[in-house]
Amino acid sequence: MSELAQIAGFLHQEAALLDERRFEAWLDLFAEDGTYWIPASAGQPDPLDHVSLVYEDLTMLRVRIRRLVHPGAHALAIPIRTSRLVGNVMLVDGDGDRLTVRARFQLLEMQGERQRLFAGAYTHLLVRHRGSFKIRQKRVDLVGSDATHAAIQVLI
Amino acid sequence: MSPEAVRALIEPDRVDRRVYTDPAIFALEIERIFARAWIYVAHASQLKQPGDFVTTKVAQQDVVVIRHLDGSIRALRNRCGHRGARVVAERSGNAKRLQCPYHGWTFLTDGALDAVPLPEGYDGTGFERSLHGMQALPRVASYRGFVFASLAAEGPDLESFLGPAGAVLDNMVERAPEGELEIAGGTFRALQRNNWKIYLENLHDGVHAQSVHRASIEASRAVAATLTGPPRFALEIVAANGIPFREMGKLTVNCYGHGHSDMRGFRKTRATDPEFQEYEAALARRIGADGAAGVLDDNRHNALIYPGFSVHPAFQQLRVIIPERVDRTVVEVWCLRMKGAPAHMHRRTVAFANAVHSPASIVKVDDLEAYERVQEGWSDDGWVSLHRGAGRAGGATALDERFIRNQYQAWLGYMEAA
Repeated sequence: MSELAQIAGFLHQEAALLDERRFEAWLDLFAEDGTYWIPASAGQPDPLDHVSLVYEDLTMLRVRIRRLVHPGAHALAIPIRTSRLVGNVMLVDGDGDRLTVRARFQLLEMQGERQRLFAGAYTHLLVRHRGSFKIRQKRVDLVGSDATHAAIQVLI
Repeated sequence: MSPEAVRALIEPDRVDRRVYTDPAIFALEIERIFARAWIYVAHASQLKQPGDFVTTKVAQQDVVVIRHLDGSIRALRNRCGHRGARVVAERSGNAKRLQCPYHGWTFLTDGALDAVPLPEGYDGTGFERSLHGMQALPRVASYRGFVFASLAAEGPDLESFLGPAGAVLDNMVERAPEGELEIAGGTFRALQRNNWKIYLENLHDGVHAQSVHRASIEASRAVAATLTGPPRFALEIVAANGIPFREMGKLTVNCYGHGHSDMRGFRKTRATDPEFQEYEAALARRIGADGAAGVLDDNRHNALIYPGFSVHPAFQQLRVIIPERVDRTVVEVWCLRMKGAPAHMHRRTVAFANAVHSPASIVKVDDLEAYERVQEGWSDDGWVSLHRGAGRAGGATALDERFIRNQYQAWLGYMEAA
């Protein structure tokens, strides 16, 4: 299998884990110092001095995931179902064990009768790990990151 | 709507549900409250140079707030004096002239009509240039860098309007080691499918947290139990919603005139970690150790400047409440940077905004759901209870609904006056 096919397979698997709500398995894809970042503006240079829709390390992601499966999360009393497509996978930088990968995604969300579509670009910083990869950072640049947003509960 | 009909909607301890659902009452609120009160429109740090502008809304009117060439700040209807097209589309920028995209009419930074194409076409037609500028709002005023505008020519001046609530803005500014604040770090815009008042009525509500935020409180506690080492800021912010009622009952809520209020305590804002000590030392270099302690101990967790502005002094956050429809509100969140403070202090401000105000925050999403359920549940006639703590003497706390009753006193004052 080519390297690019292996990377694409990894991203597809990641997307499947989220669609299947296997959140703990999804979190296991991250390196211990991994971060998950959804900027609040296009081309946002950093997550520390600018607000982000989400900028979380593994500790806060664990809190987020526990809330997602908590029976008392009233905003999820009507469950959210998702389906995502990941494509246009490109290896933009590969330096030995560290890779930078870009891809495009579309994510359909249904909660009851309410449907939403998210789309944008993923930038994954990956490190090689036991024949596969670990995520050092997943950056999600939403089309319309700085638009007015209703509550976003899903992991994108 | 007659003053009698308006008065019949509000009783001392309950309000008619229609104040949240009736589009006619909403239209009247825009006309009588948002078009009369002082509305926060910008921070002076966004308007440093002549021609710097931001766009916003005042009482549903599109407005450009711009620094005029003479240095004064003007608020103009964002509307061409010709056909009324919206002139400026950007949220912010700099322009020495504002030009309408339709026929190319240009306006000076005070709104005066500067040039039209084919001016000879107006010769002898009775066209009055002075009547066709971008209309200036009757009043603009600043309080310590916070710029407010009003669509009403008459009414209390800004300082009288703010009253004791102005001290909240003072405290925000005084926290900066150089005594100055600036907008920095981007913004959130959250869409809320609820009436604007439902949001205001949650600002000092200490009772909702344990039920609305139960899932994120329990999730944060479970994760915290697995951790060792120093406290984690974001985790603490999320977990703080779980403080027991008896602690919430110690948080003082002060009510002021014009519907304003603030809430003391909640989290202690003087930290003991080395980063915070470095900041406190920087503040003390300007105002002395006792002065710095006094400013930081004035712990107002959040405050409401009724009807459309809320601030978190301790974490340097601004919230602008923009009513769009009877059941739709946009809340803009801005962060301020304290000039002269170490860089990491702004990172706390950003981290607080992310944890609490992001539309994707695990705290906020559960609030938004609760507001929407309230809006959905009010489709029929009836009364909404505001009884908690009503008719009792003594100071109010976060377990009382006095601050909401205070908002309705202001509401009546605006709405009764035709």
